[in-house]
Formats: sequence, structure tokens, C-alpha cells
Amino acid sequence: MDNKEFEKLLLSVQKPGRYAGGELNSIIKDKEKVDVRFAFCFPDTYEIGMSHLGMKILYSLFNEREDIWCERVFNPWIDFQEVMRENNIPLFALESRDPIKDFDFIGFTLQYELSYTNVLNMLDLAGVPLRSADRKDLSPIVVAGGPCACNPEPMADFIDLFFLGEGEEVDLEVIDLYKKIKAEGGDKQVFLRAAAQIEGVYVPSLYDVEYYVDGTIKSITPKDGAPAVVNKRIMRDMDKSFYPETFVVPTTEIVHDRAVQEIYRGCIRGCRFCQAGFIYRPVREKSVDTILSQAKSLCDTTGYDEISLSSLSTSDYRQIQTLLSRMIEWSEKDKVSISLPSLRIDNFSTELLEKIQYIRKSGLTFAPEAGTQRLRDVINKNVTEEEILRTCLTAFEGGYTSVKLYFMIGLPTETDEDIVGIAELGQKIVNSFYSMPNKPKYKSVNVSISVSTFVPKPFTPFQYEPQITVDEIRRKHDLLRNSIKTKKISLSYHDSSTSFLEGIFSRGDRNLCKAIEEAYLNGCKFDGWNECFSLERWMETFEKCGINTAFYANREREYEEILPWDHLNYGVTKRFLTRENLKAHGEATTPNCREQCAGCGANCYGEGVCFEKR
Amino acid sequence: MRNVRVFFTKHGRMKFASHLDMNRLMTRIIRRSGVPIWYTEGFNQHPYITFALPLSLGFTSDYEIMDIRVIDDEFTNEQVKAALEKVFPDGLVVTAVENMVLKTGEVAFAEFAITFKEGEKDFAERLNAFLSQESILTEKKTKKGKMKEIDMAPCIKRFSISKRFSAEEGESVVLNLVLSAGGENNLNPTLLLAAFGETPYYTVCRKMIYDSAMECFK
Ligand code: SF4
Ligand code: SF4
Repeated sequence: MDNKEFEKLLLSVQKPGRYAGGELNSIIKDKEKVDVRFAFCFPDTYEIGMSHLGMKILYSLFNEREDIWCERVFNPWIDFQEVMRENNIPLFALESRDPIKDFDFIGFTLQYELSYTNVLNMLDLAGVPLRSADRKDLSPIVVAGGPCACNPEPMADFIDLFFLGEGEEVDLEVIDLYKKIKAEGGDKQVFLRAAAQIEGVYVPSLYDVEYYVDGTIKSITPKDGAPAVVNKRIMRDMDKSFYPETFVVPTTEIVHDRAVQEIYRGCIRGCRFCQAGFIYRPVREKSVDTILSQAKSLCDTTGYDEISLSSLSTSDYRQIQTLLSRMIEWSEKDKVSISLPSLRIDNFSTELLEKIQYIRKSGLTFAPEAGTQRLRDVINKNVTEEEILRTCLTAFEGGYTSVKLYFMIGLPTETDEDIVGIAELGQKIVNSFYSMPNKPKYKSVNVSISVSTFVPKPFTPFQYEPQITVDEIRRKHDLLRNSIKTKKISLSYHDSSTSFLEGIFSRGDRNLCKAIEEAYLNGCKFDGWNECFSLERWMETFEKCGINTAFYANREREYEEILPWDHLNYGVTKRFLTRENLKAHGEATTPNCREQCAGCGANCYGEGVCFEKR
Repeated sequence: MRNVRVFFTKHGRMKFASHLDMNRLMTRIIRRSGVPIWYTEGFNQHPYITFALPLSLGFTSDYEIMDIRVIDDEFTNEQVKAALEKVFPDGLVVTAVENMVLKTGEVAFAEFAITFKEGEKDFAERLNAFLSQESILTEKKTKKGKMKEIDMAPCIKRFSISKRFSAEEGESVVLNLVLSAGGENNLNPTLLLAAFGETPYYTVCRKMIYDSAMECFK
């Protein structure tokens, strides 16, 4: 389509800037001079996808190579989808505006289960058959990675191959293999079989899954030489690991519009509900020098005046004090502000607080996750009420007047007492503000409580647990609301029905593929968006496909059951997860990796926290 | 310290950048360029930048003006230009960097070239008749959010209509329009053309900005 005509259509939709491309630092290459064209797809809107660090890393990494041109693709909003269909515009990549169906690779990053229908939506808009089996040619190869790839089974029929773990090395190995097989004239089957031999690559079509009559898995059998167990890949040395010198700087507004500097991967904590805490093990840190030089390069080349330090739990970075002191020095000079998301409450010192105040005076957030000590022990959130209150008091004395607390409901073993405990903890924090002898006059305190619903995830000690039903979620919401007695506490919670859907997919198997396809054809997309999500439509679909949703979401699994992801290895062993589950029910906590190794299995990579001197 | 005026053009994919987007983008571009620029004081320090006249999303422009404050007097306008040229993205081109002459409040008129794709045969004539009326009424939202009737005719300084033919684009009608700009009397060509009724698809390019004496705005 000619550019004028295209731009005319763009001007007829909301926020056209997100489809225009041409942003600062976006990469244009001569398509005649590259061997491999890679469409990097984020199955959500531009605003969300452009805020995502993983995409930025891989975009730069691929484009460093002269023979690869990687371009960005996001899911167009509904209004533009309609315009595209009316005018026969297939899904295109932002840089070249070429249709992605002609690319060598279409790659998705799967960040959350609610984006699954968007993956199908994007393939469909591209004019590419949804099912792997219906795509006979060598290209486009449809690949996917990201955290949801740790249980990729619900998407197994659509994706040709999954990358497990960190993609920096394995993605390029697969691209090289593709080049070789294409040059030799090999077909898709030849390529997939060879790719399955690369560590970190999972080709679902090379595994047969058999079921018992009750729907649980009887066996998972590899074929055509595929490995019985597929191992995830990790970057062993974070100081040598690729990091982009620059980011594409969006012209229009996005969710997180700033530079992001990764400081380490993994988490030492092992909170039992947290998938990230297990699948990214072991912890591997970057050195202060690496962080500073990467951060500086990012700000210099993007012109960003804000940088956020990214990790799962910033204050667990061993050199945090040194890092912050040196960063502050630089940021003052260059007029860059630093923001620190994901701070944990327990090792939050006064000294650190002073630095943070210095950095950015915004609200403080804490995640106690559960309302009582008993339940915090069950989930292995090693933080005590005393610590929470002390930290809040320190913060109040430092001039803060609002704190935000995150909790989960529906955790294993939870009783009504634990729910009421959330309100009580909030009340105690409010009281501690008013107990300050020198509390600021005319100022009032605000404690905001944000509640999400616990969704059991693969590769966590709670992978065996039932999720509570939607009715039960609503009852607990009501109970909590009625337990709050002061206006100083504000309460917000997530929609219970999307958590339910998430619960079905997160531990789903291949039998869900047909339901996802059916749901998409039935009009489900942008399920993470309130204005698009329809539980009724999903329930109709499940019924039509004969899917028992309770089997996936609300059923307790035996330790011996073969789980849909048991043939994938993320370092942590099932034996360890089972042990942790037993400990949870015994209300016993497990020390973090730095206090004492819990023998999770992730030391198999030979690097990281497992080998630090304790 | 001195105020420096940057003249640039805006075309291609950059036409989808709104005024707010331009503000954000320029802040970053200028930080990247290394031009020693003055930062606003206070907690949230940011480079001081102002635009003479906002441009609507979707318009291209041959004459955009941005003012910045350079703190280092040794740093010449040529150096500013060279530094900016290095970092301007595709679609933005610096045409000149000069010391500021007029205040932005002195903007009085803007000239637009509006190109219509081939329309009905008598479109040019009807457009001519429409723009020649004594008064052209429309409703406009006041600052308080109420609708108020205004007359746009006095805001039309001058116009001319021509026809063009090119092998690529076929027949088109080009309206050259000078409208009041800046301040209270600012008139957006889209509003004017909306009052005309249905038109063929058109593109708008801002050609020039003038002061009250119809001198090019410097
Ligand atoms: S601190 Fe706990 S919840 Fe946070 S990332 Fe680590 S394991 Fe997960
Ligand atoms: S092996 Fe030990 S130290 Fe290493 S990640 Fe597992 S529990 Fe932590």
C-alpha cells in the first residue's frame, strides 16, 4: 500500500503515533542486504510492549548482527484492526512497514497468560495460519519465549518452537541454524528436528502426550530424537552478557517511558507463590562498574532524564549502598533522576531510605502479601509485622505520608482471620503514624491496600494447590472491605474473573489449545483489558469445547502427578518444590539463598549466588 | 546565557507526533545533543524549551520554531546547529539556528498549503465561494467549556486556489491559506474546512509563520 494512502488511514484512528514507526534510535536496514528478517511481536499494545526490557535487549542484540534485521510489532488497538481488515492491510512491522508474513521469523514474547488470544489475533492479522501444522513452509517460523514459556502447553499447537529461559544466546543459535538449513534447501521439519537438539529449545510437535481417563497426564514421549528433558538457558556471567547501548525512544506516550538498567537476575528469596523467584534462579549480579557504564550510555544515547534500576528485589543487590552513592554523584551532574521499583521491606535501612528520598520523593510501596504472620510463614514471605511497622514509621518520620501495601488473597491455607488481618495491619500502620510525637501538623496519612488474587503457577511450591473459586474471591473481597474501619485506608482489587482465566491457563495442558483458538474466533482478544474482556464469552467457549475449568483452576494435584511442564527443566527440581510445599503446610520458612542454600537444584549452572561465600 | 531560536521542518513519519510528543522528544534530543542548555530550577529540572506555535497532529511543516536557552556564550549558533543535526531523527531537519528576534507572543499569522485529492469537478469553485463569504460562522468551545458562536471570516488574511496535476498523484486542488495564528484569534484550518462540509481527503503543510506586519517570523 502506498504511504500516502496508509498515512491517511492512520489519521483516522486513535493515537496514530503508535503505528507510525520512525522513533529515535529505531533501526532501518536495507532488506536486500540482510539474510534473516525477524518480526519481534509483543502481544499487547505499543504502550505496554515498548515499556518492556526484554524486547529492548533482544532488539538491539539481533540488530547488532549485520545479517539480521529485527523489527518491532505490537497488537494494533481494535479501531485500527478494523481499518486494517477493511483495507486489506496485513500486520506489518513498524520499521519497514512490510507485512510480517514474509519474514523469516515471527517471534512472540509471552509475558502473561491473558495475552494468548492476542498472539492468535496477531497471526491472523498477519495472514498466517494459526496452527503450526497448517504452516508447511520453512518460513515464517513462529517462535516464542518469555516467562509463560515455562508452561507453553496451552500454546503448543500454535508455536513452532519455544525458547526456555534467557534468550541472548539460544535465539542466535536458532537463527544461525535456520540460515544453514535454508541454504541447504531443507524444509520446516528438518529445521525443527535439528533445532530441538539445541539446549533451551522446545519443539512441542516432537512430543506426544497421553492422558488418563480422568484427564491427568499419563506420559510425555519425545520423538525424532528430541530430548526427554529440555533445559532452560541462562547467561552465566552478567558482566559479559549483552546489554543495549541504547533504546528506541518512543515519540508518543507509553507506560514506562524511561531508561531501564538491569542490576541482577533472579531472586534470593523464594516466596512460595512467586514464579519469577524460581524460574530465574540462580541470582547473578552485575558489577557496580558495569551497571554505571551501561546506565550512562543509555542516558547519553536516548536523552532520557530518568533511569530505573531493574531487578526483582532491588535492596537485595549486595552493593546497593555503593551503587546508589556512585549513581547519585553521576545523576546530579547529568540531571538524571533515579527510580527504584521493587524494594523489599525487611532490609530497608534508614540509610537507604535517606538515599531514596534524595532520589525520588514518591510514594513508598511494600508487599507483605499476607495479613498474618502465620500466613506469611506459609508463603515464605520472611518479613515480620514488627519490621513492617518499623519501616513505615521510619518512612513517616522521614516525611512520607502515604504507603501502598500489596496483598494477595486466596493463598493456600488462608482463613478469614488472615483476611481480617490485612485490615488490622493497615490499621496498625495508620495508628503508628498518629503515635509519632512530632507528627506533621495538618497532615493526614493514607495507607492504600491493593489486593490481587493468588494464581498457582508452574515451577513454584504452590504448583499443586487449588485456586479458590470466583465466588470465594468475591466473598473474601467483601469480608475485607467490611473489616476496614477507617477512611485513612483505601482499598483496591483486581477483577476476580481475569485471575480465574489466568489460573486455567497457567497450569493448562494442550487440550486448552482448541479453546484458545475457539475463543479467539469467537471474538476474545485483549483479555487483559477491562473494556474487551468477557468472562461469559470464555465460559461459552469452554463449554463448547468440553473443557472443565475447575479441573485446571480449582483442583489440587498429587505430588506424583505428571504435570504438563514436567519435561521442562528450569533448574529447580520437582523434589525441592514438593519439599517446599510440605514445609508450607507445616508453616515452616526457608532461609534465602544468601543465608543458607536450600538445595533447589539451580546450582547445576555452576554460577551465581550458589557459589558466593557465605 | 542567550535565547536561541531553532528553525526546523517536520515531515514524514514525524507528522504523527503531537505537540506534547514534540515537547518530550525535543527535551530528549537536546539532552542527547550535548548543547549546554539552561535547566528550569526546582525539583523536577528539565531543559527550557518553548515552541512558537503548536502544530496539529497530522500536519507537516516547513517552518517550525523552537526556542532554547544556551548557557555557554562560547557555544556558537553554528555549533548548536551542528550538534542538533547529529541527533535529529528522520523527518525533522534543522534549517537554521539564530538569535531570537521577536517574542513568541508576536506571532500573528500562519500560512498553510492544503492539498486536496481530486474532488468533484466544481470543488475548487465551491471552495472559492465558501472562503469569499462575508462571514463564516461556526461554534467553538470557550476556555470555560461552553459553546460559543464565532465568525471565522475575519481570521482569513488571504487565500488562493490552484489546480495541479502530477503523474504520481493525478489531479489535485491546492489551497494556499493565511490565517490568524497565536493567541485568541488562532484559527485552525481543520475547523474552517469542517464548516465547508464534506471535502476530498486533504493534507496540510504549514509553510510560514508571520508577525502582524506579515514579515516572516524570526
Ligand atoms: S522477593 Fe519474593 S515475591 Fe519478590 S521476586 Fe523475590 S521471590 Fe518473588
Ligand atoms: S542451589 Fe541453593 S543457593 Fe543456588 S539458587 Fe538454589 S537454593 Fe539458592
